[in-house]
Amino acid sequence: MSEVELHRVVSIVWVPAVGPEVSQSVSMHARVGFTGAEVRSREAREVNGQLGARARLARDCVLPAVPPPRRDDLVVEAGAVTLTVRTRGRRGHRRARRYLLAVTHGVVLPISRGFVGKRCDTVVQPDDVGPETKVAFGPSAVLTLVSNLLDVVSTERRHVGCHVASCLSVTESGASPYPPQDFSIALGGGTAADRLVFREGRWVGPAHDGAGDAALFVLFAATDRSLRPLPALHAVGRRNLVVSWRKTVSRPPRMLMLDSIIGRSSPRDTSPVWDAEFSLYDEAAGVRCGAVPIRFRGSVWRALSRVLGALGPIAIGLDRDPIVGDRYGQAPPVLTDLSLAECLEGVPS
Amino acid sequence: MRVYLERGRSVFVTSKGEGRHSAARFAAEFEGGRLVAAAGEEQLFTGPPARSVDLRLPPPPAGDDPGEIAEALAAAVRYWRRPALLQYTAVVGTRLISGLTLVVQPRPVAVWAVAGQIAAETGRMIPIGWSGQRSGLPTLRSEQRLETIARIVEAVEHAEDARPGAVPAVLASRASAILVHEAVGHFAEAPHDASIDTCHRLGCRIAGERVSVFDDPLAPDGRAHYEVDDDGVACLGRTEVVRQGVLVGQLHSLASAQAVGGTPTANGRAASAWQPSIPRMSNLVCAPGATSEQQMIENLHRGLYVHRLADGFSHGLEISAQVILSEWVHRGRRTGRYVTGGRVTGKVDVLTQVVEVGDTSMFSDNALCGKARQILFDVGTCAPAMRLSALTISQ
Repeated sequence: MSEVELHRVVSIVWVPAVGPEVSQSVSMHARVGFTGAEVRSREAREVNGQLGARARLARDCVLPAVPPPRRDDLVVEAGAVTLTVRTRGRRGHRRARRYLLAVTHGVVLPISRGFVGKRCDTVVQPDDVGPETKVAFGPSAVLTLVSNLLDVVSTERRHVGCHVASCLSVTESGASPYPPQDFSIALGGGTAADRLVFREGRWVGPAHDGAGDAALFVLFAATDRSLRPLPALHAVGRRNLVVSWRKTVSRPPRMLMLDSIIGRSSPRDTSPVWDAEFSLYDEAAGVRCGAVPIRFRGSVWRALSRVLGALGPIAIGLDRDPIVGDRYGQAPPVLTDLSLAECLEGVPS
Repeated sequence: MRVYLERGRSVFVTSKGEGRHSAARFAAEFEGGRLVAAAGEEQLFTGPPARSVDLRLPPPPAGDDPGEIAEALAAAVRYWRRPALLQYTAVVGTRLISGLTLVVQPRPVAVWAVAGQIAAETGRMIPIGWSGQRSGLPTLRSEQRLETIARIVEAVEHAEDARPGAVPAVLASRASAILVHEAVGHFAEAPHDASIDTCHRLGCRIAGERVSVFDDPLAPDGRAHYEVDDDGVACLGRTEVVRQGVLVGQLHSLASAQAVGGTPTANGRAASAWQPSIPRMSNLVCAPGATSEQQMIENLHRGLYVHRLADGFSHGLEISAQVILSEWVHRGRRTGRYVTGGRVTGKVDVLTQVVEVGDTSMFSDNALCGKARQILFDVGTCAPAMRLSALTISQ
């Protein structure tokens, strides 16, 4: 079929704060042509024991720094990914990446030399936030909003060119800061081009041209979905999202950061309901973590059109889709002029 | 230790009609599984299991020819004469569960799905979804099915936008199947988090008294078909779920049944050997009533006849579904005035508005269902047309 061969090995150990560990060792080999690929799994049973030890050590370091309401959900993940590409039987390039990260309630905590940011021990109840407090979205929440926006606009071709916010740009890319979802090979063995899906706030249109590359991406970068009707749902074939916001703003004295959100209604609802993990930033009192999630309602269109600007550089985030699964991406934290009172629906029971 | 093994062959074909690079074909062979230790640690692997397990599944049978699939998809797009993107997936293979006291015979798996979108001339994207057992080629080659889609697309192109509000309605069989699946099926599934007990739901009225529903993995013509579920629990017959509108049974996996001291109902299902089984419907069957669809439209007098719904969703007590095509009924007659857009929204008791049930139950041709990050191809729903005193449509 082709003269390009890929071999990818992914080893991961997930160590939770509570509960048993899970390990995964996957080896996939493919011959890739211009019109398709033949993919085979290969034997891979043992996970390098050092990965587990690394993850356990990191968990013990990270756990005390995680706010108490979020400790039970903490999972530390250590992994190693290698990709070998051969062209016409010759040894091509080999790329190996190791990583370590922690996730809790959809918030990604990149770990650098065992340190995971400022300690945050204090909690705040939703009733104590104040209805006028301005709302911001963390990287994970921005990714979920943009992912939902793509689901909504893709229902109508007349949405091509629709305007959301001038400063918004969204790119779909094979590259990812999360190594298991980093895969940029295209059909034919070349590099899959990044695709701009929102340019200066306008939707560019559906990406039918890259459907084959998207399927190859899912086979390799989302191997856990590869025995299911993976390309059957459009969102499943979507590659990694990179969101950027041209304008920046400074942090206000007080704001409510929705760190991560998860939909409670169909992604195609125009005014969906979300459950959000939040933190309260206050110049005087520091950062306090929400004791319980809050529920808010609002169209993604409205939420993104009310963004004033980015609060910082793009960072790794996690879009937790209840059906498709976890998808990592990159987005900046953004500040809106929405007040809590404008979008709060309540506290989930 | 428990061992879950799977060995299969998958075919993926994407097509947007004819022309260079209009189709991509993938063939994938997979062998792997999951080991679960007594303490709960899990190990996911590819390749054959370790020698200590002493089990090896047979090579998978030959599946669909990707070339034939690509041709059939291109022919479908040609038939509709509209821009379209179709994606075909099929899996054939075998699964096996082995534990300390249990070795279940290898279970064959053969499922397929087609999903995609057609762009109507008005720009609206119309979702396509077919799925089921064995191979999808006969469905793809069925001119009757292609013709049905073509008629829907044409009607959508001449349809007015839906207005929000509550309106009396008759749901065609395929449309009512979506509401039965979302409102009854998911509500009857025990939670996959076994620490949550929803037994208090039993005895609740969730539909009109003319509605009775059961779940049956061996239902004739069902999109699902299995004698043993993914926990190794044998199917001992149908499970009564709703009797005259009242929830009388829940669908359990082994773990959810153990958690509440109940009996497993052979509804433990997993999308692959890498994932834990959770309570899922198999074939949900709503018993037919006594009224013809034509008579229900006459009895409706004025309201909406809903031809097609799609993209059903349920979360907690809320359900919704996208309205693809409906038609105004006036003086008991369909008018040819079509309506599209909007979503049916409501609570799980939306079917308490049912006042008449059609005399013929039919399986929906789309059996795709996603839940808890697991997508199944073969979750069947068999339902008759229904007349509702009110159906709420939101923007």
